[in-house]
Amino acid sequence: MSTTAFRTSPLHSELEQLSPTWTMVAGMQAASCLGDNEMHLLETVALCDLSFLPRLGLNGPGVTGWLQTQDIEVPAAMYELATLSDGSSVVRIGTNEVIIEGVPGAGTIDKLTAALATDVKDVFNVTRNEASLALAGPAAADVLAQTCSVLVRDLLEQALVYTRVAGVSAAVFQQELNGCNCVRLVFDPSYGIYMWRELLKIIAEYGGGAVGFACLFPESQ
Amino acid sequence: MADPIFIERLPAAGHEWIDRDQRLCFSFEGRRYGAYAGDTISSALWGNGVRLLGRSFKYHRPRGVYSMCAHDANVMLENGETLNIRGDTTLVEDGMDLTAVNTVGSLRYDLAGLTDRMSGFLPVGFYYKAFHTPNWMFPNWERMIRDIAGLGKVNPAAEWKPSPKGYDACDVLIVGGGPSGMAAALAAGRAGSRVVLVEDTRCLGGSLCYAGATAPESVATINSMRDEIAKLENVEVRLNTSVRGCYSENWLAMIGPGGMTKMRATAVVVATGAYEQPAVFRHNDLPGVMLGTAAQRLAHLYRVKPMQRALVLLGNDYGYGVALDLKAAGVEVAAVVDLRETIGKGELVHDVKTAGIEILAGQCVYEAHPAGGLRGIKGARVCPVNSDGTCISTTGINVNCDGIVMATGWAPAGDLIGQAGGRLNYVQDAAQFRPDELPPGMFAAGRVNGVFGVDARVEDGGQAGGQAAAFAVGKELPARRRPTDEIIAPSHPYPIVKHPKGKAFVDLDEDVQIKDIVNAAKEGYDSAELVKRYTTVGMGPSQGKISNLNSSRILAKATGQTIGAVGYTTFRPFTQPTTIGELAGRRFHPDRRTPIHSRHQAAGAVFMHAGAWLRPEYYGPRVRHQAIVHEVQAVRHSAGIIDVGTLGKIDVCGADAAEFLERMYTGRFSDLTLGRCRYALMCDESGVVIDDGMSARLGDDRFYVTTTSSGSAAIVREMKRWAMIWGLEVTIIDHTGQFGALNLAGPESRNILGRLTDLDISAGGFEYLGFREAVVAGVNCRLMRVGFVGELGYELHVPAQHAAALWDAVIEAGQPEGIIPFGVEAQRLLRMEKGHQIIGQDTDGLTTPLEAGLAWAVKMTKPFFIGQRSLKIVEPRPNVRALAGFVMHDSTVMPSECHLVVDGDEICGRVTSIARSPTLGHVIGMAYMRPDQTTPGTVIDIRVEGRLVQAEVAKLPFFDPSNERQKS
Repeated sequence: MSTTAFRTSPLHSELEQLSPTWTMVAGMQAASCLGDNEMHLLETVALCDLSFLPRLGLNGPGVTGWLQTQDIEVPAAMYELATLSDGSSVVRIGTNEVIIEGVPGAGTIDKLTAALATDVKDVFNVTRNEASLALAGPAAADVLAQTCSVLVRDLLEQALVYTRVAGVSAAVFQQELNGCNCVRLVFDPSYGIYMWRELLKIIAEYGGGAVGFACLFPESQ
Repeated sequence: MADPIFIERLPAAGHEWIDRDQRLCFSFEGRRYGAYAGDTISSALWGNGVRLLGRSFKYHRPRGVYSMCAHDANVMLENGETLNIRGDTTLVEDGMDLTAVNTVGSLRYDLAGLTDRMSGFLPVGFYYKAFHTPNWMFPNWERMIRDIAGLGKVNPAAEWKPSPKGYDACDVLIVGGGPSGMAAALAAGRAGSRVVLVEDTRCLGGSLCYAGATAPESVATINSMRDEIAKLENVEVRLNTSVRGCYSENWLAMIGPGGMTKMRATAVVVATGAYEQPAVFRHNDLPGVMLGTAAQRLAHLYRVKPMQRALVLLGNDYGYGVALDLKAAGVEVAAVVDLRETIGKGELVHDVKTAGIEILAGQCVYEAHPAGGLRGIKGARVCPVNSDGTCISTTGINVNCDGIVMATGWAPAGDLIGQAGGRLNYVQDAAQFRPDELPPGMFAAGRVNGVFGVDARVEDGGQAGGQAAAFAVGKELPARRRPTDEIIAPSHPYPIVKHPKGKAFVDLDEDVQIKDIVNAAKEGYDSAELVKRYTTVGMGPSQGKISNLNSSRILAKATGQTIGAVGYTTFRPFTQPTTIGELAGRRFHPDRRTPIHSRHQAAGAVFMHAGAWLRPEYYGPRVRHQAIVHEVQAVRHSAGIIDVGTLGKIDVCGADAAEFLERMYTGRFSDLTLGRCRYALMCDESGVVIDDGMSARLGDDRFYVTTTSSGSAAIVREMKRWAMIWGLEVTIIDHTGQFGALNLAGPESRNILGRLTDLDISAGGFEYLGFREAVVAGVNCRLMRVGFVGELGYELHVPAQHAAALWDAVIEAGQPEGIIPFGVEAQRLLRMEKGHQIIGQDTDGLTTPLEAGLAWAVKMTKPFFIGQRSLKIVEPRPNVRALAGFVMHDSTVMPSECHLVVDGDEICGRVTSIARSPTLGHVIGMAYMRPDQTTPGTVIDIRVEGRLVQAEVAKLPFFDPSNERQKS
């Protein structure tokens, strides 16, 4: 049998209650639109599920060298983010540990996954099924400040930090998506629903709400 | 209801804090009153002629306005579910329905006021001596004291309202928006620092907002500084925000309109000002007696006439300004009573003389004369006094007045300095404490620093701000010099006058009198800390801000010490009463859900918390017991499926992976072959069992291990720690949240799985304790043939995002066999029938594998594993307890987990697991007992609620002892 099953976002059941427009991205049903109000919400603060973005973790002493053979240069500094030519991001999270995140339409992860099918010495494929959220809009910094001791202004460009958000360990970084400054949160998927609900509660106090991914990735439509 | 009472205020003034265009209506003790927006509750009531605002804590004496700056602890109010609202600082809201706390009956007719008449029998400390004999009475006393004590009653059914908490950081935090704080903000802001200026009132200016005659240049000073601050983009002003606590590394807790902010500042300027201190004389607590700054606040900020005819008791030149302010507010000033024998020659003194106000120098207020049953005053007796508070004569003169205004000195608002580890020293010349040593990165400015003149405060603040800005960027601190201050000694050294009839209050929060401090000293309590504990002085809601200094003065005099030697009590957070709600914040309590959670919900699961995880306890709609039995029977007779995604799931990779696991676990790994899995047991250094799971070999340099659900985070942490310590070439990858897992169990499970995979899962092709990686239902799976529940079973581990799809596929494939999901309770019962232990339930913090019947999983012949050394020590010794199974054929009284196994008076062990087995038809359980009791057939006693029940020891496992089913 071949691998044919669809992926499911850890937030699928939450999104389903918002009557989304579903769009298949990288083998996952992703909520592309949650209503007509999305651009208005982005003017305050919006929460978007980006768990559909494919991620690949690589671990082991041979990672950097092997990625070089795949024409991918891993940032030298810890937690530094680099953007690849197809829009994917690569970040070093340890001496021998790297995460690559794709964007809709990018082929890097598929290519690397195929290359890993043959045993590669000292490179271990690490499943990365995290929950991934974007806090977008001017009040994103305020929302983050209510949940996390790392402030948006402390987040350097092209770098991520590991910290706790609403009591959950998470990787946090800034990213501009469709011209909108976003705070990205990536964390253990088992906390996905908890985090989604807590953030939405706070966001609602600012007049914000949930949005689909299309307003941040319009080209994916 | 009648229209609200509304008495007009003093004529409008530019600096007032009330908005006369917005009228509000509220009720107090059942009566309606009017207020202006911007009024505090106390100012509105006082403006409406109400003088009785609250009752004291202990003697229930009438109390009114005293400080108007958050220290009026006796004016605590209740508004619906909101308790302990401070009247002096809380703004009136339209529709408030306020009642005073701590009254029996009503505020006006408080039955508990009788305690005041009995006060002679209730000195401080009487409770230490009175309530412990006879012993049998203590519970009654306790109940009575608990009924009487407390301020307001919490409504446990009140709606929970989240109070936000936030984090922030800045280069320089300036606490206090008075002239020194503003000057500091300007200096630091001009230097380029990111500055946050915090002011606990509604506007910048501090004491200059109500300074009146005491600082006539104040309005111009405030306005120019405010304008300049507003132009600095790097200076953020936060009003109505108070800094409540200062912790290490300049971590400060601030409470503002948006809840709590946890502020991390590189440097802090403390410009918190000073607390005005009261004089102590008989009846100094009654409504109408108030601090000079309270009268100034009423008159200037709220345009309320504090009284009709005032007697001003002062010990410094500031008091002359207060007298002038009162006169300007239309108050008739009966006289100024100056405690000093020689009055000052300053401008204010001159102005008072010019205004025709009589000055009585070298005099004190010996006593106030109560009016209306202590609900106000009608006059005072003024007597000549020495500088040490001794009345030269008590005959004196009587002065008619309805208010006594006290302006006798200050104490620095140095709470944050003390909390941060700074020290204050008593300066004899100034008759007050001043900061002496400050922790790195903390700077003091203004009145808290003992600088009182307006110009001097501005200069001092500027210097402090400059130093803070330099500190924030690691520069050398600019030199600082103490500004020349026109006010040399703003505090009177002893504004305390004893009276033979008492009722001269040092601490209004707790009704502590002069005699209480003196008696404490006589009983040997000779330090500020001891006196605080014995008398409760400073332990009330205002935390001694307007009582500790006078208490220290009295104690010093009583013990013959200097005030510096007596010292002050420890400053602890919070500087002001802070609600539990503010501390609780939003209450983040993360809970975890497996990727199959929504499927459980759809199937009617009843969830339970297992650590942070939400797991299906059982599936409805059947009632609990029936559901569990139904699920157990499905697994025993057909097939069931359980979500085990909560298990810890770890990849151990690298050339030394096998060696690493050999050291971490008690079993062997080097001989574990590809395609096989094995039970793995872990101990700590003392040989105590801490975790277990399954381990499988994925490759020469790669293993997969599972842990208990609750242990995963700790085990991963331990593995990473040991990997570093041992320096082995090994990589630990925690898949716990990234992988979902399910267990398909039951005699039909092979048939069901066979429909979903091409893998050879025949008995010979995929044998018991086998491990495979294969595609199942279109998903890349890791499969283990395990039998925790004692049946043919498969554990399937998949990436989390595929787990729901796999679950759906298995459920669908199992429809012909009637597959159902089973929950945690059914699993616990099934495994108990099989005699399998759960680590943490059937073991505890002292259990070794030898006691738990797990010696078979410990390979003592290995060179090393964690805990081996300890086990080698205990191995030759006889066990003191052992885990064994038992059955109960008569279960009329059924023990619970943790009930004791006893033998006569000896406690031999405890029940760890027990349940009625639907498969076997009787109660089964496991318990620790004496090793000699573990022989099958032995009858043991279990103590249940005071009676003994009998159980018979049985061999484990209870079910399928030959393991044929799980190996089939």
